[in-house]
Amino acid sequence: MYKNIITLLACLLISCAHASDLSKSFAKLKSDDYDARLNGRIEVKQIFADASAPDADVALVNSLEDQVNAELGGSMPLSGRLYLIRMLELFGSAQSAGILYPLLGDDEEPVRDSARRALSEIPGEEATNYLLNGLARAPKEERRGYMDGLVERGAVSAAPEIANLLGSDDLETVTSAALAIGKLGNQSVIPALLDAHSTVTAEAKESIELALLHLGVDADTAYLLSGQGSNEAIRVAAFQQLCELDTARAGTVLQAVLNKPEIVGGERFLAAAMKNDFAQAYLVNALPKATAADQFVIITAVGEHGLSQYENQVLALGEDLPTDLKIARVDTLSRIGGDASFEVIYDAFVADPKDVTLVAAVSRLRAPAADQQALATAKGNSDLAKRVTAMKVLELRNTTGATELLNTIALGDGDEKAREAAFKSLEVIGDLESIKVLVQLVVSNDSLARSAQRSLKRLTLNYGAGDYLWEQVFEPALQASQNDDAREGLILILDGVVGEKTLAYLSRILLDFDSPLRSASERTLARWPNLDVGYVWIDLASAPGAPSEDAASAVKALTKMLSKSNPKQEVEQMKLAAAAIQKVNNPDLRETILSVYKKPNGRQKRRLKAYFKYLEDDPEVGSLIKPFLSKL
Amino acid sequence: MKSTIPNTRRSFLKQGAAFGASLLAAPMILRADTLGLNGRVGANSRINIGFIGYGKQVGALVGVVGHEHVQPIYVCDLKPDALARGKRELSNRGYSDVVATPDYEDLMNDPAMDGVVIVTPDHWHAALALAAMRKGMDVYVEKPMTLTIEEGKAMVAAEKRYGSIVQVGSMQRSDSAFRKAAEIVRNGWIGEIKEVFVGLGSFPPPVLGPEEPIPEGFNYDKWLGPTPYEPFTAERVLGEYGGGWRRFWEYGSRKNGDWGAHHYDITQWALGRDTSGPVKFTPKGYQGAKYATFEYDDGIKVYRDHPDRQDHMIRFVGTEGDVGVSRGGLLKTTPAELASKPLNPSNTHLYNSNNHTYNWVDCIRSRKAPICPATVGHRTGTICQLAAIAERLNRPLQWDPIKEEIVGDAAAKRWQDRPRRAGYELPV
Repeated sequence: MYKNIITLLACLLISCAHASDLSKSFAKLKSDDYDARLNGRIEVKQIFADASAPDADVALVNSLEDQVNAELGGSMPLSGRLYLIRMLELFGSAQSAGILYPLLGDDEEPVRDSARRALSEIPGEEATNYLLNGLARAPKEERRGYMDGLVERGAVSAAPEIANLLGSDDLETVTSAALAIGKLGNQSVIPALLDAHSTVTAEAKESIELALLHLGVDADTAYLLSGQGSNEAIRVAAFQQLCELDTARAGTVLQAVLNKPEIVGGERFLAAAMKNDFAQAYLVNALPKATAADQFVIITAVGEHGLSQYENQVLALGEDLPTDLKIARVDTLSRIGGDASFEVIYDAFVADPKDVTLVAAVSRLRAPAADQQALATAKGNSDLAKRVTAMKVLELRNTTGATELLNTIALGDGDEKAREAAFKSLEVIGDLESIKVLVQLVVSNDSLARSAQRSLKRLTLNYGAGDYLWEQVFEPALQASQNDDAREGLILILDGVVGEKTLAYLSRILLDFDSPLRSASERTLARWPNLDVGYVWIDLASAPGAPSEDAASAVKALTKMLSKSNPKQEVEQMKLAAAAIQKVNNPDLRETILSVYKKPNGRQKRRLKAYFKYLEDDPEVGSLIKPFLSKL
Repeated sequence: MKSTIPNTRRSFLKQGAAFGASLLAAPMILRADTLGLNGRVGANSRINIGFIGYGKQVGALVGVVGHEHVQPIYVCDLKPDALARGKRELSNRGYSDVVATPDYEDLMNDPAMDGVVIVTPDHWHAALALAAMRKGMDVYVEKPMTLTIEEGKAMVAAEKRYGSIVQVGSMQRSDSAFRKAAEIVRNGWIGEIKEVFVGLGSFPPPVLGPEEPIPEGFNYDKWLGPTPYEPFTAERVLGEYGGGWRRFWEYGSRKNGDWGAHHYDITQWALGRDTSGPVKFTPKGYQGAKYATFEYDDGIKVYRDHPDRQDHMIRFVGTEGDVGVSRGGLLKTTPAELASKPLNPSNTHLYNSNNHTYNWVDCIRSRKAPICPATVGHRTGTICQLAAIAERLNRPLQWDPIKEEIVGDAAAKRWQDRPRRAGYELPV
């Protein structure tokens, strides 16, 4: 009984689904209101989409197809008819073939072509047969569409029938047939293509050669097309097939390319050959006698394909090369080389440490001995220039152990230039320990304190994690400092230690009007990189007893921060603006802030209402804000 | 030091392009052809290029003519005003001999041409790129590389078959901040990636309207090209970033192929999926889903327009940190020091290009693969297109990135390609 009820309910559901009524949507497709037409399209599409879902009953689609069929013969305007045919193209079942076939003879060309396209998509043999039938009947200017429809269906068996059209005296028909044959991939028609090739015009030859290559040719044809193909693409494609089929003759072609620099497009042959094992050694061994242009292509390919076995041959090219080739050689060596290549790259780097190719090469090359050598050189007492370069190498390669060594050099009492080089490298690869080292140098008034301070600022900015650095390094260092001079050195770079705790510290100093460190704190706060500092300026501007010039400076800073819209920090800016309006009794500032939002967009209106609302009840500024918000 | 490479093969007249029978002593079944130059030869070693499409977006690409090895020869656009602008602008850059033509076939049939920059609406990308490759040209094609997944497969095959240098215009790959972000992710510096958030925004719906007269000199049928016939309206063919053709599914994949072709591209790059892709796509709104998402086979989930993006264009979230990256060199990491940490030689160093168009030209000369070849552009485009199909059908899709087909949904699978109007068949 229960099962029967379920079955009955299921039947009811299906029949309801079958009854999906498109009539309202059809009416919209006919409407003069184009928004309604768009909605009609969306509705029809979604109804079809739902009916074609993987778990849906095909009967649902059939029901919709019937309704479309009825409508196509009615009063639907052309754009609506075309849209409905497109729905059959996208969702139609095999049943649609019968609906579409008559439309192949419609008076309207767009309708005929739409029906043809739809037939190329729907399932079932019937659609294929209709397209074949259509191809046979179509005027020559419409044949190409039918051929393409068969291709779209993957109707491989249609290839011989299409091949018959290669004998046409109509160029467009021949080229379209060749294109279709190539796509279909039916090799049985290769003889027909070769026959046609001997008779057709030059324009059609190109299409036939392309089709041949698409299907795959034998070694003889590949060899001939390598040399005689109608264009560069055909010659290269043929050569690539020749490399697979006959390496001896592919070698002959390569030799010709190397010997004849006048063969335009030869670079493509060389690049293609370098993907094949048989040709790589041949071309690499030919490097010494090759033209610079060919050397350029070959050694680039050696690097691209990571052919490390040819490191010696690339090295043997030497240094006396045209610029582009020299760069290519360095780049390739950095990808395939080892210790021997490092020596070459290193020497070049020493001569030109700012060259971007050399910098990248130093950073990339896998040469274990290079790291040990650089560590030893940087650590040792050799020539200063060598030590400085070695430190740069350690930085670029982010060598294990480099940071520890650089910390030691920085802290030591060695050559000042070496120490400064260590500072510079630590800006990039320094760690928490490096920060501690540099802080120590600053507070101890080291002879290089200014340099250390500069590098410390850059390192802290790179390091981030301001609150963490404050707690771990800066707060203890400031507390332990012997005097204000030492503290000032750190305070001046605290804008590199961005966080609430640092800001609170700087704020306390600023609001302590007797502090000798106020000036340093103010300078640092002026450089603070985010809007949080605005609250400090508000506190200063509204602080009882604040020197008038300081309060004016604070208002000036707030004006600068709030006088222009900042879309990337809009919410933060609005919150700050509201606080400033409420707490800083300065009519000019208030006016400036409100003027920023004279013409707010929709999002800004919503946000202003949210973030300024509490000001409406403020006894001092409520009368200013209420009308402002009411106008939004 | 010698300044550059002398005697490149391009410095020779193209009449020498074919080997000639004497070079390859073999029986002739095919006639040798000689190639004309139509009276023009580029300057020594120069690469002759043409622009197809001279709308708004070309502004980001026309700078390629500043490359010392580039010689612009053609500018093509179906719109007379755009064509005139192209002619004028290139003339202002010192190239007064550029040929302006509405017919791209003029460019394709000129054997002197080496490369083409395709900056048309999306529905023309594949056909033009393939036509150029069949002629032996190299191609710069705006993103997304194609309109359909099957077109993408054809592009990949052609790139390989003809040995063409194809650069897809997902140019964020040539931005150092995006490269750094990708390297941080790829090298595991923020641990195992769990989620990625990308911001694409949205377009308003397309605008239908009563048929309008086709402007004088504008070949509207050709503009429609392979897409279904629709009556002309000015809005339909407009090239505005926020409107016009970009709103229509017929000519693009809306925001999926707009910003998606940039941000999904970087996502793929960072996750090391350039030869693969996600396995599941869920559209926004499906069974209450608040955000469109896609997922990889290892569970990494990518969210579109989710607030956890935190105002970055793309944000990768890993088990040990996160990376947010945007245009303008904006890179924010947790831990912060990752942003400036140098790679060491054992790390993965990603392809380094700092100029997307120049990288294309450099690769034409060296025949090295560019930073965003068709193989890469296809996989990124596939994501754009699958996200769009899921959105249009309003249901999830399962994707097999190895077989490259939609699984378990026959209707959706049909959407992997679109049949073309007669006369606009896809060349391969």
